Amino acid sequence: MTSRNTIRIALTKGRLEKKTLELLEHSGYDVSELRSGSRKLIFTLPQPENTALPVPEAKVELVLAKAADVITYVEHGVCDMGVVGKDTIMEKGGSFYETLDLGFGKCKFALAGKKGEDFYEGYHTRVIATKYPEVTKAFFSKKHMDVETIKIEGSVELAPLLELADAIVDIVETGTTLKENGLEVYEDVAPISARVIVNVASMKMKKQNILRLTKLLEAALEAK
Amino acid sequence: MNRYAISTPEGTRDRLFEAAGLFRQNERRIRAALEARGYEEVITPSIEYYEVFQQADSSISQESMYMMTDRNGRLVVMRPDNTVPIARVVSTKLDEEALPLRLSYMQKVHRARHANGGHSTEIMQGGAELLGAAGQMADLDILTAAFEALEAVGGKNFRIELGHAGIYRALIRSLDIDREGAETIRRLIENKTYAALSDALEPFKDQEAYHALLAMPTLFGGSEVLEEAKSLTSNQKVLKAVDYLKDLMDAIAAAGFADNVMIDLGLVHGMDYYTGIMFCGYVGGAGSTVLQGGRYDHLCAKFGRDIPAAGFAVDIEALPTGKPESRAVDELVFCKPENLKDALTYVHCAPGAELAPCDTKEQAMAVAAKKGCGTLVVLTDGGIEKLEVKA
Repeated sequence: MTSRNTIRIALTKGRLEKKTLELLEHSGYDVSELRSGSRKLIFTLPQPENTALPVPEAKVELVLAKAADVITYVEHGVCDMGVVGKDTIMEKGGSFYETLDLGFGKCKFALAGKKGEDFYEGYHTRVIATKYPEVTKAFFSKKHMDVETIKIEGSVELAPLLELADAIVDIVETGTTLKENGLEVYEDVAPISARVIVNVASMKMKKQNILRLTKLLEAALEAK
Repeated sequence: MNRYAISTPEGTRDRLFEAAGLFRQNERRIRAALEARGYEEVITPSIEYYEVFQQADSSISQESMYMMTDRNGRLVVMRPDNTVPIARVVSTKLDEEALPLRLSYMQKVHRARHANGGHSTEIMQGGAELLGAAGQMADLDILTAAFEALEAVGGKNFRIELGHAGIYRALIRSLDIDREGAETIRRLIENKTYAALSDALEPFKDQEAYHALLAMPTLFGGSEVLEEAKSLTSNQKVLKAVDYLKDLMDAIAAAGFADNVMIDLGLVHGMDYYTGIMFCGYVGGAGSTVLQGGRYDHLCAKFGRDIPAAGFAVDIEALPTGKPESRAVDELVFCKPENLKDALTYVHCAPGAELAPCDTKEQAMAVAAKKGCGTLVVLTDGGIEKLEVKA
């Protein structure tokens, strides 16, 4: 676990990182070092003064990581908190608290396939191509359907076009890629947005600091 | 060489020197704390029939057990849990023993985990079970044993959180909800997923239990959360459990652990298993829960002996390790076979001395130089000669 006087937060690099920094900045933290294009991986934020809401007494450290690694770091307790998409949480699972829905990074998991086809017709075992085999299995097991999942690393949309799969389970934001390739959403699987996760032991051993930080983020969200 | 011939399976590790010493140090401390409270150690087989765990209806999933078949084709598992085998023993072999029984154990459990997660698959657990006793003093008995166990390894920097299985159970039963819906809500409370919990509870907005269920993930901290819980519901079973926790808190504080005890009413894991108090322990420097326990009054009945029971287990590996007790070799003792007795006496009396496993003085000198010992002690019939070792 991190030391008692530090709250270390792992941020998913990219859009979630930028949005979270905006929230922290709104709460009074100086995040300019992270925006400077530095190649450092761990940043210590200067302690803000005269803030509207009480800030954590502990110093705040930020770590930039890939989404799945954010979960790994928080689960192992080397980071106390993390900001990560619900998509990664659903696929990777793990044991941690998921305390706040930040609302940004909104999109959804959807089942999609060739336009105009009835996915549920007939009795053959469906083949689903996806980057998210766990999400896919959980979705179909709830429907008591046996499906075969094939893991694809790149553009999943290709699989039904090449007739490797009957359908795909993937993240859909605007649906443009689907449309341009003659695919359509059959069914929504789950909504996705950015979440704050907290290590189980940190929540207990550093309760006050973590709750203060959570309050700051919540207040910043509301103000926006 | 084949890579499997020279490595250990994922989730296992070799513990060498200092790491082994620190591991055993934590084991010794836990064992001593439990012994001091009259808990007697038992050792159960590391392989058990799969049916034992199926009979117990435990929450351990099939996927997380290491299974194989014995020579007769029967399904056996590497022990995935320590409490179930103890319930089996108490209900069968110890059924003539006078109750209550205090049993302890220090042995490994094996759990298969996802690949590449960095999780251990063999976990050393030290634990205690108080069998055949129920009520407030029985709960305090096992709870204070848990406090003392963590104090023995964590000094003052540890916390144990108390919850009660009856609270969630009473609230969820008051709702008209199916098993699956209840499980969803339970999981959202367990993971403190506030936003989704509020959505999941939306259909029950008008019901009495709504406010208390919604607040459960936030109800952790000092005894003030007990007051808050009471203000949220008038469910008699919940109020009774909350009052009971308050009494336990007061007694634990009076026993000297005021700074170490907290409340978490959001403890809702293992709901098919726990029947009363539940608790989790945390130690500064450890990133995960290091202790779990509670009251499970229905477990022994599944093996044919209906007695109440409560217990806990400490995860030895999750404990932070202290400073190693250093053990440097300062003196190497060389002798001929006829002087062995004197040499052994010397080694036993001088800390930091060990025998030179060499047949000649020159070999012994070379080993002493390689190992960095300061002195080579040569024992002969003529007496003791101490030679300085040049690096």
